[in-house]
Amino acid sequence: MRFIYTKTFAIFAGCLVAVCLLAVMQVKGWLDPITEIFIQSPRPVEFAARAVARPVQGFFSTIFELRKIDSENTRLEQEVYSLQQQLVGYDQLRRENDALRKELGFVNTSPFALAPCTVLSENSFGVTDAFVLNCGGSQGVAVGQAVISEGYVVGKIIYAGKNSSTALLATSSKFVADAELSKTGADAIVTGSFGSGLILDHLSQNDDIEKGWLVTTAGINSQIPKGLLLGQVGDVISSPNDLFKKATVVSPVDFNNLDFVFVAKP
Amino acid sequence: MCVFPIISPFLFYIVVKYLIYLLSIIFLCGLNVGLAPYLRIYGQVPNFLFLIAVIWSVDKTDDDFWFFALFAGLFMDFSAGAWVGTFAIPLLLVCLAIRLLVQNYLVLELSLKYLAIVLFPAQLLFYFGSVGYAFVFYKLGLAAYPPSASGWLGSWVAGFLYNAALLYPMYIAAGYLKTFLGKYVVREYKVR
Repeated sequence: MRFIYTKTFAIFAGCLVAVCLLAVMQVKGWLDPITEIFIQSPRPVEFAARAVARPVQGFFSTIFELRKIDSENTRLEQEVYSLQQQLVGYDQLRRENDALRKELGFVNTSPFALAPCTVLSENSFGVTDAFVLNCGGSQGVAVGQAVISEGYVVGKIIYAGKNSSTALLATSSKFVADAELSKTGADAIVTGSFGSGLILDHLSQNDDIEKGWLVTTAGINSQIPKGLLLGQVGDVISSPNDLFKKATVVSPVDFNNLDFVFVAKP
Repeated sequence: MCVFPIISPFLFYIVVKYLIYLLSIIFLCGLNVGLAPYLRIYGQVPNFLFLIAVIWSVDKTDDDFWFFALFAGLFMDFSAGAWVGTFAIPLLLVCLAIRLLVQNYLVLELSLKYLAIVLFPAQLLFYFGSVGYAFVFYKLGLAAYPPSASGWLGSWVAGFLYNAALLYPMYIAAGYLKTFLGKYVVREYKVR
């Protein structure tokens, strides 16, 4: 008997048609209620699994990091003193800035609004570099907007449904954002680096760069507000012969453990 | 005794059976999503749903693997935030390939040893199928980014070893589920 007349093929074809139908419905935007059911139904098990795994991971990571804690504490204390000194200067500058704004009649505008979201799943099968959020178009979330956690950009919305959305992790090789060095204002581009971190690229060879400088969004893309933190400059990885300067960008956010995030709505 | 006398025992058995399958898939999906951040090695996590569908498809007397392949794939699609079909269609293809292999070329039942050998091409087909499907969506202008096969393949070995290590526990778990259905559910509803 030919394969296409077998029961196996009939069931396979039926399943294929069902999936294609669902895909068409998703493209048309008619699949939101079904999406909700599929996303929400494993949540109780997911919560239980996380509740068990988190303390276990915390216990082991504390043991592994015990040796580093002392040196890290000393380094952080020094950093706090230096930042406190800087803060005094910034306070003075802020007062001056406020006074000048008043004199010139500048209007203060809020740079962006934030939509709080819960991360429903995060790169759960190790292949998509994406995470699913429980907020979507009905909360004002749209494709291209930046996702923030602990004040740092962690991703970008790539799909927005009615009540859920998908964001691309900033560490994904497909992630690209316009950036600038907050110290000099030099423009560059930040890209993800195959899940391992972020890379600052396309910085002119004439521009200065130093370890520890803050990297923020440049505001060239209208969907991502200016001034969102991307990370700190790590090591410069380009040579003087290269066309552009290239450096690693260190973000303090643990990209593998995102629970609550904000979507920055311009 | 059947709880709903209007429904025949056989139909009730079918409903109970598929409900148990669905709950198993939901449980494995929750486990996968909940444990993924804590089990990552080289960016890879074990894929329980893929494993259960593959394990179920090697039993040549049972056609229920279609249910596992379809629903496991759909749960993966929705949980990963991918387009519907990105994982479901490759998983259906993988299960079909295994079934045809088992039906036409293997006289004996597929053992765990053979299953481990089958896992390698199955996972490769699954990944390339997913990349291909995602690429079609990108070409149609529906996806914002093209899929990066190189990124997946970079850590693919880690993913394969991870799944291979969990094959035996999943095989045992699937065996328990089959025993449970055979011993208790079938006996309870006096069918077969």
